[in-house]
Amino acid sequence: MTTEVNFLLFYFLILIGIGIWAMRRGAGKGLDNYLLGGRSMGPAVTALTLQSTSMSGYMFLGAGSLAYTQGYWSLWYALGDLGGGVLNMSVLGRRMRKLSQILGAVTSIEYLERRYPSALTRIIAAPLALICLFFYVLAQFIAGGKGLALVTGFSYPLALGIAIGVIVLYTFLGGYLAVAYTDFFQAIIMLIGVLWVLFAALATLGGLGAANERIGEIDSSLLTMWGKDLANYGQWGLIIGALLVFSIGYLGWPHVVTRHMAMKRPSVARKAGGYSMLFNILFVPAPYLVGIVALLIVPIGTDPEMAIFATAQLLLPPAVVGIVMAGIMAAIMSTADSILLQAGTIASRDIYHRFINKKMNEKNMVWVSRGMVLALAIVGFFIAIFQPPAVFALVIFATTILGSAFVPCYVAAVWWKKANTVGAVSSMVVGTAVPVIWEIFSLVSRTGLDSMLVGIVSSVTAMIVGSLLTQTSCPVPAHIQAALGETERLGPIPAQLLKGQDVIMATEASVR
Amino acid sequence: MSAAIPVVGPQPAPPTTADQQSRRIPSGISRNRAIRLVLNRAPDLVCTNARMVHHPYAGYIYAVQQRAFGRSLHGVAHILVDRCSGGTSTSDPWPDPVLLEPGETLDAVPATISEEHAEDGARQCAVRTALHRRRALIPIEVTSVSSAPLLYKPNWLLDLQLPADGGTVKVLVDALTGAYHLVPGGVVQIEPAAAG
Repeated sequence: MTTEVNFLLFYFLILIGIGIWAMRRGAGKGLDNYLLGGRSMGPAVTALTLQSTSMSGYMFLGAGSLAYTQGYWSLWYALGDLGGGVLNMSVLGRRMRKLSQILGAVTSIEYLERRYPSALTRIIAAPLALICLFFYVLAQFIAGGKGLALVTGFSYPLALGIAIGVIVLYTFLGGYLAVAYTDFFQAIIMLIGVLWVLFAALATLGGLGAANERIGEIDSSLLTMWGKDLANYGQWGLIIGALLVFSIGYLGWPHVVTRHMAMKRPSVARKAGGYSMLFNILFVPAPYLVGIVALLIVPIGTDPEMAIFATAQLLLPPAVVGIVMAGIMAAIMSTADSILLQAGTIASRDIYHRFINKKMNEKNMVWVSRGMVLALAIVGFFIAIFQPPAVFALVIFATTILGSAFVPCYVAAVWWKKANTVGAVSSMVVGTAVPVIWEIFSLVSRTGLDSMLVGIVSSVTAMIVGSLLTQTSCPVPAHIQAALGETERLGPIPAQLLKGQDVIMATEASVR
Repeated sequence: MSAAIPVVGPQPAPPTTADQQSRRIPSGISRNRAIRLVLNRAPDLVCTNARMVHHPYAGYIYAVQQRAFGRSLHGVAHILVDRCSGGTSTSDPWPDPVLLEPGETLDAVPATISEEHAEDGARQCAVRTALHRRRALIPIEVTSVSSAPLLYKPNWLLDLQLPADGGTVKVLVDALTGAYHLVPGGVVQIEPAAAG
């Protein structure tokens, strides 16, 4: 067994060890730790879990691949990604935390149904989220399989099976392992892994300036912001789309926005936004830069998605390659387990319990969740093994659909009092259909407009038109209006008095 | 003992009759302390009225148990269901409630959520909270320990006058924890005749 694999196994053991330690540490207090009110996530934990969940295997495979093939053009995506966390916190964080508590919602789909009260909201939102999350988790499986195959030398199918097995095992163990400590640990390992490769690559090449000179000698168009051979020159529609995918795209991810609901106080959002920004500045540019300079390091003909792996293997000693691999697995696992659990929750609560068996007991609910996780893993394995599509394309596609279908709903839910059920349903349907049609008919290349941009514009339009046309036939219920009024300023009231408000009292105050 | 804080303005509104089978939680925070809590943050305001009001809740206590990998974790969940909005939340343990005396009245908004709905919501909340934090794949058992279908929680409702004739605002202070929130509706401007 190679040093890399040994190190990877060691990493998994550390994770399990942290989980057991955390479990024993909390054992004396039992479940009371979790069941008492008012004890939730602070800003640092909110930011780290948000970012480790958002930053998936894409960052190590897709980002590297894009940079390796398109050069500095890829940094448009990084730029959007950099601001994604803070934008998410600023736009949704505080208000969504307040509104979800007032409406008594715990899951992100439940939140949508309570804000836009109709069974139709959930009928559309739940399966849509489930399908997109499946695509996203499929990408994580493939990323894990490819990475493991490269490091271990195993065949792709075997490595894929092992990777999925580890991810599913981690998800099942998640009840005990996926606590704040492991999220924190995973985020740190991700950061160390990618920065180590970057510094090693730059040291080998004599710095970024020297590397750029050599890249310019190979193909000067890679140094521009327009892509290889200036293929995207003047295509601002594509550039805006690239910026939007990972900036406002995050706002539509059910497994990410659910973090807002778990914050200790609405005011946590501001600090958490700061922490997110710090993490992003350190983490996000690194994989793109490694991908760019990998052109000078890895042999021609290397699978672009393996650019970061290959760079690590060539430049770093085996034990450090193990750390990088652990970082990649950390990115994959911290995202995949959240997605799988979110999918399980949607299947058991938002679909089975809500529409099929309202009397379902807790045990059945757990079995439905487990069944969904296993089903996703098995189906994912067979799809990934027979026709592995590009990780990057899958992630972008799933993010595009989630973004254009859900962003207007989540944003309007807290910022627009006239947003009603008809608007939300229209927005979700149009926001899904338009990007899919755009991709199927290859309209991106014909029009020069990115499907994310077109999808968002369409779904926002549908939300506005649908809501305004049906204000009398489908008004926003009074209790929701009152809840939304909660977020508005009350007037010339001392700031300290406003700041000290406790949102827990909001509902009681609203009926006085 | 703290000195009484002078309150100017109208006296408390006439109370509404509460359900005789219901219970109320005794107040843990005095009227003066409630006013101080708010005025400490906004010393320029003047409290013109302060009265005790109650909000209808249903309170449920559950024993929660999770078993996995040969280990078992136990806990007690205190769940409150708002009988006006149906909203559920976990809570710290509340003080022992007392039965309302015959003829005792409370200034309370009426409960609009049924007992069945409240109980169903409470149970779901207990399960959801446990699963949410412990992840959804570990079996969980929830057993009812006790319940109070109508539990009145005390609050202090303060009328505060803003400086420089800026109008008045109402603030609702939790008489158990001291947490507070402004009553929606914005600033109410004082009519010249009333102000005079």
